[in-house]
Amino acid sequence: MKVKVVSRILEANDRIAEENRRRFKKAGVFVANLMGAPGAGKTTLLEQTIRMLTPGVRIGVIEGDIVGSDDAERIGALGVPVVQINTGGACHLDANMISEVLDELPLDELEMVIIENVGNLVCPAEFKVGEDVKMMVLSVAEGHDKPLKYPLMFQESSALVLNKVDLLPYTNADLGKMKQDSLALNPKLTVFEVSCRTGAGIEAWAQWLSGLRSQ
Amino acid sequence: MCLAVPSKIISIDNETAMIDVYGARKEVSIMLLPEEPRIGDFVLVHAGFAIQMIKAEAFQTGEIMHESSIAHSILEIVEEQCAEKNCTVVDAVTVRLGRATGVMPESLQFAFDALKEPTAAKNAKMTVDIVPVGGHCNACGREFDVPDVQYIFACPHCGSNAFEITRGREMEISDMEMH
Repeated sequence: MKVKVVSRILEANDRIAEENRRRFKKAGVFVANLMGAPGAGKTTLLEQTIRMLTPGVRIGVIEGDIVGSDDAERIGALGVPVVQINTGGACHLDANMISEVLDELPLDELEMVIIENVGNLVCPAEFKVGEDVKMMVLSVAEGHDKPLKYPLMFQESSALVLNKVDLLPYTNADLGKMKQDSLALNPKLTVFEVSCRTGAGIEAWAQWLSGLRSQ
Repeated sequence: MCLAVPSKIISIDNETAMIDVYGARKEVSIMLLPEEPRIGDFVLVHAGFAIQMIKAEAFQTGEIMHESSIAHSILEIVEEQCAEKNCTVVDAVTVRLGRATGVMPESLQFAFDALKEPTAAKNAKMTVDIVPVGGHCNACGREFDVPDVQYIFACPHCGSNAFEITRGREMEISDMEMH
């Protein structure tokens, strides 16, 4: 027997992501999914963002890594609630992993949850986790060819944080091309140039992120 | 897409093993593995070395990689549909996969074949139909399909950027054969 099915393969994930989103909404929490390659500066950006926005904004963090709790310890040291997920080999967080740790965060006391995804420029872009907004970090040292080589994440994100701009003089990266290609892939992308090391550009970025809560 | 390639061991000779990667045979060193592998085991291979054993359970819960999560979801849907139609054996599955997803068809095929064994689809053949990126241009009014690329910046007919992409992100099961 041959049957037409037409069933979306990630429907189960999307359904759980929608449940997560409802739980976040009910608690009045805005959720951002932070993606980017290993070493782009996701955790450092998160630290700088937390320093800039707390205690004014009550932030909680979910950290995703293949193994280890180094990132959660760094974030925990800033005094914000944090949960570490170890994916044990998986290259991305999915909605179910988030659902399983939600009880460990005091959602009712929070205004914003930032989910730091597994370091990877490809796979996380495919899986919804229940976020309001996806955003990504790309460091200038990764090279200006990255947007066109890994288009999906650039197309899925609302914001692109170009990190390590203080390193520009030491690389051959063309910042103009990086921005131009990213915006060509996704004209709705809001682009920030920052250096987490010097603090340049962090305030503008953090204010933008904070402002999303009221939209 | 992930970096290390899951491969099946088909023979072992001391510290080297013959592996099968998407149908290709390759010799790799197994000296870095924490335990002695057996024929039929899956290992992750990087740069000529088997670096990690893949436990069958881990593979089945979709923990190993992106494509195996997706293959796992496909098998779940397939088994559900099979039971719903009062069938017991799945013979074939057709999947439509957009060119602009991050999913590699070869990896998906490999993961599906590795995971299907304990399911009603254990003898099923999966066909992957690739859907090219395509859309509609609001400037010239024409439809377009662009083979072999993941994105475009301008309408291939008139060069305008006032186009909408409407195809190429599909990830769905389109039909199944079962009895």
